[in-house]
Amino acid sequence: MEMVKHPNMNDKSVKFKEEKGLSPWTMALQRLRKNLLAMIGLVVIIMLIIMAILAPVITPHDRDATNTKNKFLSPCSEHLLGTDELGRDTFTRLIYGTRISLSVGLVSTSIAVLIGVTLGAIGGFNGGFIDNIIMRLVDIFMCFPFFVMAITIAALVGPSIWNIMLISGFLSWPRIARIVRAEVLSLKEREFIEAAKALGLNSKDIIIKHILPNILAPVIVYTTLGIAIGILSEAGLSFLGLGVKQPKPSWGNMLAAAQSLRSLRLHWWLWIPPGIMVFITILSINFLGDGLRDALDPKLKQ
Amino acid sequence: MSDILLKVEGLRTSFKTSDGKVNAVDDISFNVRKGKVLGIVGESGCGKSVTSLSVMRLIPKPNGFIEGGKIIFSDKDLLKISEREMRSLRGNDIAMIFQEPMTALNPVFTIGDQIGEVLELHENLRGEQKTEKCIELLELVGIPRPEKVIKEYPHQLSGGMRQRVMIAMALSCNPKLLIADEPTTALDVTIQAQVLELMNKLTDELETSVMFITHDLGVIAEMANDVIVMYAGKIVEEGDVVSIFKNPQHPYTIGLLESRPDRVDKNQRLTCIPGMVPSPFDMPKGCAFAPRCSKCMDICNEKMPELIEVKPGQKARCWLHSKGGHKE
Repeated sequence: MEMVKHPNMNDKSVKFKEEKGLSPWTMALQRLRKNLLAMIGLVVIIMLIIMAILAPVITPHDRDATNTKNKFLSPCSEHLLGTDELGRDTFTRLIYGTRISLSVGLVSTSIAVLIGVTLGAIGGFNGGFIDNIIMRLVDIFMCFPFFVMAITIAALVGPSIWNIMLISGFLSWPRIARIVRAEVLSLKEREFIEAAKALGLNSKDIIIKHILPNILAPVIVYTTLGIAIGILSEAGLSFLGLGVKQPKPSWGNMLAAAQSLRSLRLHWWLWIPPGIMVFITILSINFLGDGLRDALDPKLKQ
Repeated sequence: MSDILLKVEGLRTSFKTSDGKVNAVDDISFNVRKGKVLGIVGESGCGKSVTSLSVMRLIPKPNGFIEGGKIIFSDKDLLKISEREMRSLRGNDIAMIFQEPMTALNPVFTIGDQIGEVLELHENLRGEQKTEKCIELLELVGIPRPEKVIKEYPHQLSGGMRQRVMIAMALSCNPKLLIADEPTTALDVTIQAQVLELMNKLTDELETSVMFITHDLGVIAEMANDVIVMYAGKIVEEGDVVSIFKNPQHPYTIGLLESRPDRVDKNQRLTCIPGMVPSPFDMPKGCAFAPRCSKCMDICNEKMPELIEVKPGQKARCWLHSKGGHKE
């Protein structure tokens, strides 16, 4: 068939010289690169992840090896951060603790995001009865303060790393379900969703192919910040003895050393390093999260 | 009557609102002939878009619903078939072009992805074949450098180009019926002309029937073979394009034709139809146009006139042409 040519259209499009068009994601990434704090956060997080993965390489000591002769050693060249009440190397446990803390944050947030996005999207897209049930469920969940609920459930089901992940995940999905539902509600009125319907797509395809990619931005931001909350709640519960159980080290249960007045006064190397690790991690994640939010929604900043 | 592709009979679409039920489209009937263009004109809020959405069965649920009537599309009543069957028709046999090209494309996918999606769904094309067909379609609608454009995102294209992409998507499966809901309203005039020319050419080549919805009479004159004029959810006049323009019968059509800006000399005021479309909650008892009509008679405020044949091939809903309306 003959081609219809319009010279002015040709001129107009000459400007775009790139091989591939810039996707909204590429543009967000470019904005993120310019954000110094977010980049620092990202680098720290990547370093923490590498540290967690390479834990056995970094430290020569065995995680759980006790040595009652070397109890409460202060930092020295053999034990960089001293030893604890059972003579275990604090530095080693700190490094291994990174594994536990990061994975608790990641898994619990993944659970929350999975449930929250699914229910939020279904509720928002379908509306009516289903939406009502989901949102009332969300309301019920949000009636209870997170930490009190978490402590109660942890006390009932017993402390373990898996329980902590599940508790934290199941208690934090309502917030994300709300965010997702609100986004879907406004998105489904957009014309391209109507156009997708007019092209014969079914609801499942419309949600997965057209709605989810468009709500990815807030979900990513929430996930990042959610990981921080997950790590904090793990630390809190473990500190209270309701989280990760000894001998598995986590920053939270290492901090529990500070519960003893003697350690608090004499053995700073037992509780200051895990405290600092929690502080640095949360701060980095929050920097990255804020940076992501600014990068993904540039209108917000002005 | 084998040359009729779409036959709408007594279609009635309503919306539930907090103030009660509203009849957005009230008992309308029309035919779309094979390979011809039916223009639907009317002011905002007279039920044009609801008519087109009814044909697609895309009336927003749960508040909107089709109360009655038949929509017969090549021997099938679209109101009786299942949602699954309807989905296989949408995009395949009946396609739609939307008003706002700026928002009718998904911002996070490339043009190629979006056209490809339709091809995958209805034509089962994959990989190389899909890409080739995408490029072919974009060429068809006159997009320069199609092999580059398929990798671009909607925000990189101008409004006119996006509307071309929408047309390409709508035509991708050679639909029998194309519903164009004010496809040029959001475009500037020069692009408008290009898009219209393109649609004209393509529908001629592919022998697609078109339901063309607009409030721009100039566009109708250029595009349509048959015209229906709608007012307040009802058809007030229908006929072929020449008789409607040369010899309008209903005062509303006459008013619309007179209020076109090109009919007015410099420094002269634009003629207009006084008043506004009545609120659907507060419809006049008789003819809906009566309060704004310059030729309003007593009977107009009493009873709604019927749509009757005034001349061969031209119908109007007006007491001026009905028995009992004339003063003589």
